[in-house]
Amino acid sequence: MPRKNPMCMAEWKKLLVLSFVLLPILLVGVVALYGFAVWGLQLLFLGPPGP
Amino acid sequence: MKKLWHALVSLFCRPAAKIGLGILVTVGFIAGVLSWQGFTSVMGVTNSEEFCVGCHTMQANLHELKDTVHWSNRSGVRAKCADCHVPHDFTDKMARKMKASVEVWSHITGEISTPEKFEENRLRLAQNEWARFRANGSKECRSCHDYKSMDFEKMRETSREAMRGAAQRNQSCLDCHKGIAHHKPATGNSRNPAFDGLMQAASSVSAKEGAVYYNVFPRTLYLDEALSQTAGKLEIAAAVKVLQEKGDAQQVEISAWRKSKGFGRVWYGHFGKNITQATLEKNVAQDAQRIKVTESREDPNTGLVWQKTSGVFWIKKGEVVEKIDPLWSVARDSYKSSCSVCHKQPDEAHFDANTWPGLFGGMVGFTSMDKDTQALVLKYLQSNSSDFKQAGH
Repeated sequence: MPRKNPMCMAEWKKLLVLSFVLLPILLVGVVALYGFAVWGLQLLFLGPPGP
Repeated sequence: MKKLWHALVSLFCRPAAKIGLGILVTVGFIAGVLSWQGFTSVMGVTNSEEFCVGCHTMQANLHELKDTVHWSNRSGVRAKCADCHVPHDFTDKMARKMKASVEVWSHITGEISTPEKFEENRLRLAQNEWARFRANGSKECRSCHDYKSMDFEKMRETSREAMRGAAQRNQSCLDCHKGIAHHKPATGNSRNPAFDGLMQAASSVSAKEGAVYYNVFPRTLYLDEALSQTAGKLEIAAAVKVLQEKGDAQQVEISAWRKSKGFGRVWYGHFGKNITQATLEKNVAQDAQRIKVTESREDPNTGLVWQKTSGVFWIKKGEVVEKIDPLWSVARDSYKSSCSVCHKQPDEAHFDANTWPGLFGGMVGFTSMDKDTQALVLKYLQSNSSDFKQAGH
């Protein structure tokens, strides 16, 4: 019975999209942004990383 | 836009009505594990040698590595591209990975897309890497090569003291060991910017007739005032006496010594000392009309007969300065900074003028001096050698 429930289907879809598509993209995006930010700071203020 | 925002808010904030909390967390957990695994795998792949040499440009660089100890050695430990060129800490590594977008960009736009184009940019790119290693004290090298774990007694005698000193100073490996994994960029064609200052100074000198001047840069000597017939080359820091000026040309007299053996093409500044002043074309050097020999003397050290010679040539105006000191100051700076990187540089007067060329030639390959600076520094060392500093000893 609950398997036929359209609301249940919608929630499963959301769950899977969120955890396997959206958040992984977000992970890559955040890390990339972090990398670019550090690089930018190195160019402007920090200079090349020290020992 | 607003719709998207609402969709996102409801996606994140509306509680699930039908799926249990445990299932949500479990799915999230599995997704998290898989994502992180995927992320580290991508990091691993982009750090692999296959990935690095995937573009045609980098293949020559791998080939160079294959001739070195970092590729194969008796203990089987080897360095891959990323071991040296990608920082190992997370933050610096991520910054470097993003920085690689420049490399991708210059590959796509064709700025550096072939080994030939890489070669044109090698010096600049190497300088980037050298600056990075200078700033972090060659951190990547030292994740394998640690001063604390070095057994200095097992080193070759020639390396031992240098390495001990380096360990004491906690010195960056690349200070001395440039060009150990790839070909060192040819610095022969680059120019020491200090010469620009000298040449500018020379261009504003108005020469007085009969006075002695010093050449600031290797120049062509001419036979005629139209500067059309080449007579040879005037070496850097060579002394000339200006006889007259005509238009853009200057007539100069060179007095020097030459060895009577051979064609006498090479002229030296002093009797018995191999400090070159000028190199003449063969036919010019043999021209008795043009070259005056005023004295002959045998060098007791070698048994060779040296002749005092002089000749009159033309050079382009604005290439000489009144005093040798600015030249020596450029040379001294270069000598001090280049040589002291690896060892205490010997006193100029520690060797004589004929010993310096051999010593200098053996060491200069470790420095990044361009060829004109090399010539000037050698001239400086010879001219300030023990032969000319007798009073001090």
